[in-house]
Amino acid sequence: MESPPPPPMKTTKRRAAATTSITGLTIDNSVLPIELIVEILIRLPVKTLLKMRSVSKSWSSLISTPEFVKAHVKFSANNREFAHHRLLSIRSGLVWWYVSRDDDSVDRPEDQTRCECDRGSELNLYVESLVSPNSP
Amino acid sequence: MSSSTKFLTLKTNDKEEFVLDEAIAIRSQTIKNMVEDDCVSNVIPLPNVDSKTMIKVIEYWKKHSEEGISKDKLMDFDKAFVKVDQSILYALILAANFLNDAEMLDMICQEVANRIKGKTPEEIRKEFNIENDFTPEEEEEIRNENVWAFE
Repeated sequence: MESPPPPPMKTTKRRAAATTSITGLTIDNSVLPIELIVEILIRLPVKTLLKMRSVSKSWSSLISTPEFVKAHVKFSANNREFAHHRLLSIRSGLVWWYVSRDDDSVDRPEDQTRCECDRGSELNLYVESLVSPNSP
Repeated sequence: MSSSTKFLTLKTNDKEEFVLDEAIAIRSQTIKNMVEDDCVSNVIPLPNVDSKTMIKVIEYWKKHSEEGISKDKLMDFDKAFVKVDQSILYALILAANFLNDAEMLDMICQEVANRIKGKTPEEIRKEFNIENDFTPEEEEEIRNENVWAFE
């Protein structure tokens, strides 16, 4: 019964080739376009990403953009494997938070303190909405 | 769909030609769009893909198009498929992106991410050939912001 999965629906015309030059990140001497580096990095757990911020300036600034954070949150929301990792950047200054879901906190008690911050309920609400997209 | 098999000829940037069953080739959304738009004459040029990479891509497409293949078999195939040099993975990422094959792109990106996981910043720099342009003070500062990540 199995046939090759049909690609979703017809999208736009042919996709532009990904060869336009990009500034920034080189990987292994060959340059991957930023969009593809992002594709790789959004698959990393928060802890690894935070470590990677000290790799170089361009990697740090890429990981620190709100767009990247959003992409990471979106990807991990659909991925059971990282259910307890959430990455947030707070507008005032660049602060990174490691948030754990309530049901994961038993495993990682040391991490949940990360979302206790002086912005209090506002942040927690934000966190809540990201962590549990289905909660009321 | 017509029952007769149609073939497409794909031409890589190093002028190699690959003749492939259209039903398999349209795993590439890019090629599928060309076929549907009737842009296909004889040969489809793939200016962003070299033959070495295309051989791998076709190997993947054929396996994933096999009728009745079990999920376990495909998983084993995928595992073996990504056990290649980092540079081949990058070529595959670029090819999958150009060919617009989301499934393959996802798998290869995940493999590169898996190789990054668990490495120290120093190891990542070395492996990915990244120059450390932080001053020692700047690096220290960044590390201090998230000390727990380095524990």
